[in-house]
Amino acid sequence: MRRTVLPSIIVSLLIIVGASSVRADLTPPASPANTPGRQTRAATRTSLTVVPDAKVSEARLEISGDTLRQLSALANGSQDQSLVLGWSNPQQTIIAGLFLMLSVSFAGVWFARSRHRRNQKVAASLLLAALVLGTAAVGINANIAPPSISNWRGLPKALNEGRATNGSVTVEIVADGSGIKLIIPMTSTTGRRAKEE
Amino acid sequence: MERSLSIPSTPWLRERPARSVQVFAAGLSICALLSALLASWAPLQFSIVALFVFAGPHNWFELRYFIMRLPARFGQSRNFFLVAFAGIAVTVSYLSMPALYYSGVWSGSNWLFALAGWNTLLLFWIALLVWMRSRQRPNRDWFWFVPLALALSSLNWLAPELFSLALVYLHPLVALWFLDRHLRRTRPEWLSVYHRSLILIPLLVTAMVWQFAHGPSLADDNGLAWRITQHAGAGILAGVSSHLLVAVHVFLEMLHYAVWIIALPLIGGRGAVWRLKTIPLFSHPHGFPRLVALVLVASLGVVVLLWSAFAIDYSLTRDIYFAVAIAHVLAEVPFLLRTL
Repeated sequence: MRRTVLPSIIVSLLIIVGASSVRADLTPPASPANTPGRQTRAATRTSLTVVPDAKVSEARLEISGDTLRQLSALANGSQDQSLVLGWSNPQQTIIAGLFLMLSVSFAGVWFARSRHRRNQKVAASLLLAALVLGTAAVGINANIAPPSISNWRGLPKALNEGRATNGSVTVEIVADGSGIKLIIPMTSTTGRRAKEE
Repeated sequence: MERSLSIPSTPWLRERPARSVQVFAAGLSICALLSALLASWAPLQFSIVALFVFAGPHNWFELRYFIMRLPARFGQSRNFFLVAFAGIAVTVSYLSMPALYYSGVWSGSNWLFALAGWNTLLLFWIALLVWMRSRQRPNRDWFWFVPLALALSSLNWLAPELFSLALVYLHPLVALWFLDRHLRRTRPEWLSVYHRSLILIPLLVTAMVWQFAHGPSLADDNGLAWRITQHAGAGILAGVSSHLLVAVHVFLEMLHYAVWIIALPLIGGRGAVWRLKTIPLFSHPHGFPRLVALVLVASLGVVVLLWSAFAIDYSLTRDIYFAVAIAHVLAEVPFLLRTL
């Protein structure tokens, strides 16, 4: 037992130390707030529904309580990312990391002490599948279009037909201007053709 | 095999085996296709009707199934059942969260933290039950569940709301697992047909995704429609069409109801559901006949009460039902483990 547990712990430690040193070489993720050339103070992500309604006489903007809290946190410069970005906060990420570390460690122990060769084959297959899927995901992700475009693709048709359209939206608080501006991603056939050429 | 043949069956099952398998496969396929069709065509209306009609009765059938599988004496499984009954405390802790919020005791500011904590508690409870069950089955190595539970806990802490939503969508499929275990014991010759029929489910879900993924969302401009879309996860998966979410959710729920209300009682082979003598806890010399009868009759009363409440205030009853329904989700875990 000791002969198998000790190497598992050493391998787990090497992975953790290796991961932290590799992470140090990564560039920070680009967010709308730190894109060069934009006067954006902060950003958050939520959903937006555009509802054409023949019965109302003036445009109305409805904001849910949760989104309003996010926006006020954004406007007040809150550092709580769970409020501002809707992401898990640092404590949650730390706990998730701890559980992941324990999971990898126990998986190693299970793999090492497994008496059945079938279990070892299953574990090796899972590892291989994870590797293939991970590599494929990276490859596919590199070629994928931004998700928000597909969300809003049917907007003109839906507006003409009087149907509601739902999609994700990034809310930004900008330094200049007044009022609210909604920018919708649109793909035109001429634009696509020009890109292809 | 001998055991399965010796079990008395309902009339349509008494026919020659090949015929009964065909009827079973046809029933499963028609049920799945019809549910998918109705869920896709009128998701909101179908959701309202399905919950109203089937939610209460399916819980009664589940309760009866579990009572049927409770031994009169726990014996060596005493500790297993003690931990299983601790699930009641886990349920109460879940219900206490919205109760504390609405009573003003808790502001709900750390909601995600509390939700992730509860999900972890649930995973640890399941892991403990799996470990205890594995000790009763020494020829099986279930240690792999420990890293799996820890990995799931990790994912849960990254996105607690998504994890809870995954439970909502995966829970109906547990009924299919129960049916699998039941067929394995009572009608093993049906298993291959059953497994082949299950291929329909991913095919139908894929068809729904293909049809509705880029379609318009449902108009949730009234309180009830909004609640239904929220229960299906429209608030969490903001970029996904709520038509797709509600349709898939109702489709899976209908499969769940069909298994508990139609498939398991019919294939159970223990006679009519109202015959209490078929329940070991009722008929055993050391059993509790009065308690069993009282619980089943009282729960029938709850079903009628639920129907009345739905008729009076559907939206409020739906909210309360979905909160309390976590109890039956948890109850399924120990009984499923007992069948493994």
